[in-house]
Amino acid sequence: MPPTPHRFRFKAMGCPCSLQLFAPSAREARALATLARGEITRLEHKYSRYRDDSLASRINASAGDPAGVAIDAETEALLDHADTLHHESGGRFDPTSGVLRRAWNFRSGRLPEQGEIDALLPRIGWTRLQRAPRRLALPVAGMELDFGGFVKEYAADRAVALLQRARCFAGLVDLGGDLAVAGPQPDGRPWTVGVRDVRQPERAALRVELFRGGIATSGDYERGISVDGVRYGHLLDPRNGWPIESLASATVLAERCLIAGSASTLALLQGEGAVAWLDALGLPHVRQHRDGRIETRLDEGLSAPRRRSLRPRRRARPRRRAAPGAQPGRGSRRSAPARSR
Amino acid sequence: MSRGNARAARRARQRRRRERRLQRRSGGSQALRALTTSALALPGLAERAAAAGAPVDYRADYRYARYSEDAISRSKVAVGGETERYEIDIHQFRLEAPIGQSFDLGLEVAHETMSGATPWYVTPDPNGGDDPIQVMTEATIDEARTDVLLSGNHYRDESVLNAGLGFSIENDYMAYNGSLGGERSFNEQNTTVSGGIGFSYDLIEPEDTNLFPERPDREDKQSYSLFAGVAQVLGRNTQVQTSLTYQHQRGFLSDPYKRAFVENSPIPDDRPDTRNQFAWLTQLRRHFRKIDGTLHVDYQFFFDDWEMRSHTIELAWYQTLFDRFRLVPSFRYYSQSQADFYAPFYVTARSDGHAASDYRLSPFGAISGGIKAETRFQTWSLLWDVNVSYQRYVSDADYALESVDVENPGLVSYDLISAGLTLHF
Repeated sequence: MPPTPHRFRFKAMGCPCSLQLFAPSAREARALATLARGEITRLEHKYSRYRDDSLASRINASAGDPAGVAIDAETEALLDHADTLHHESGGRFDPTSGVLRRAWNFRSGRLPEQGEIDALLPRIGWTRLQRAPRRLALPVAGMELDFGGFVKEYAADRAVALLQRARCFAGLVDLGGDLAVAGPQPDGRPWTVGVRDVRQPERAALRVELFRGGIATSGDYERGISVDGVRYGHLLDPRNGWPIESLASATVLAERCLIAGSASTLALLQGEGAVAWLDALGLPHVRQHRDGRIETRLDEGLSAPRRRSLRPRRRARPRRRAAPGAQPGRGSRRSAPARSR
Repeated sequence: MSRGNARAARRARQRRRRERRLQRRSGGSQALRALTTSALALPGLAERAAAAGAPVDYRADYRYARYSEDAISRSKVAVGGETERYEIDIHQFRLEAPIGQSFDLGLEVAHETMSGATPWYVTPDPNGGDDPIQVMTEATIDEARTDVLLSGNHYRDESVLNAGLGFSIENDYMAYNGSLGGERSFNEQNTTVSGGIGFSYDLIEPEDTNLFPERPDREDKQSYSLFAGVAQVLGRNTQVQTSLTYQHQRGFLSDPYKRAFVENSPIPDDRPDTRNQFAWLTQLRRHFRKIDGTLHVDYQFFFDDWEMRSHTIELAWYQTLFDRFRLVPSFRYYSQSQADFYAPFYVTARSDGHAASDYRLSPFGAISGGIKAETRFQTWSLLWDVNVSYQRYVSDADYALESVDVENPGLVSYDLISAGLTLHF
């Protein structure tokens, strides 16, 4: 068996993606890749707001209709998770804040008028969502729900869960830099993952080792708008509609890609408090400051491999030991000794 | 409680358990706990990567071991008797192959050659001393035994099913055995229950029956065993496992090559024709991350309806050095009481006719210590594991937990060295 994984590249969820899978044959690797890609595609079709036939589009189209739309258990759980993020961020994480893009046109290089922002704020508000079991209603016409803040990471975890169910434990799912692995490489070594340098996004600032779980990055290092020497970035505060100045990027490692992605997103939303928030969180991470400084906090767990010796192989029948006579019962088979003459 | 309520309560319990586990793992940050809890509530995300999944590579093992018993002290044997005891050379081959995504098959062949003398029977000291005397058999040369075992595993989402079939052959002995077992993980793979059944049929056709006419020509015995265990992960570095094994044996359980000295004459070894044995084994594994070492503590309590009791405690330390070496010092203490019908010799015969003076049924204690070194390296695309080990075992009546009146002179002490090579490809 070759010591290199089978690689598959494709585009999904608006970004370049890849799979790296160790399998006994190319055919089995392809079957595993089809399984993983199928799951990623399913989630893209369900939660993309760019597809008219998606659940996300149907939810958004129903805005203003008090009856709302029917949702399934998976969507409920995603909304529950978004609710946790909203709560943990003190309201800074808000999947309904996407409409602010209508005011903030970063390509134009001009700041929006306060009036434009104020006109959008009534259409934002996570807590105004009306939820009932298996139903969701957006109360105000023009409100929009965006699953983009967490579905990619969830898709990476789901793909890995399917790989594991198919007994593939040496595989990596990379969805545009948000990664999840099904386990270490077959020889027990970790995967190495490059962390993008915010000043030269084509380069890796450093490489981190991943034995299990996932890794995700949130960044705010694209150009933004500069007015009178003040930078206005892409990270917007849904409470007032104005940008939050924060770290250039945060890369977090966690037991799941979704946890990593949620943590990196919330960290950036903390603004000036991002560093303290990450330190208190206690997950291994890399943070890049706007001035190019890179701080690593990778010694906190997760990077340590699980020892094989912790999981002894169990046998239904105790193995017959080579050494006889040590215990009654075990040695009895040995009791046929030398014949006497 | 309605069914809906019960389900909700169960879900809440599962959530709380998940939360507690992650709390331990994440050092207790409130925010991380919250993120983790809601993320794991998503479908499929609570499942954890199974480290014990179906193997994806082929494995070939070869192991050589040499078992050599200490010579028996000349003062303990009858005048002119053999003192050299058993030496066994053991060669073991094993091949494991994955079959598709969810099966594997293993084939193991072991070949042993044995030579040396073994204890035959025990007599009182002819000079009137307190210590009995061992009469040894003559030394044999080059007896051989071959074992073949075929086993398979079927891996499913959270469970493994396994089956094995084996046979063992010697010139005077033949045994067939089979086993079926399974294990299943719960609670996000933190709990694993396992169980199994086993069967073996042994046929013995003793040699030299012309010289020893009271030896049976052909006898057999059957063994049935049941096994059940549970393993629990306790936090990220600790695991405990406990299991119960019951074995029932019936048939010819005596040793046709041994005798017992009863009323001044050596008569054939005679043991009951049934035996019920129980063993309770508890194992603790604890990994110490800072020093990259793992402690193994095993305790086994054994008892049977021959009124034997034994305790075994084993400690081993697995120390990883420079990533690729592992050193494993280990220590074991063992103590057993005697079988109810055992005696070194019998002044008067027992009313039930049983008689056995085999040292394995006598009261004694044993101490053993060993060291194993292993390393792993990669050449081309192959992965190699190499290990060597040495073990010293000493048994003595003085080591027993309870005081022993008369030590069996046949107690054994031995050295065991072994070297093994595993190739993953």
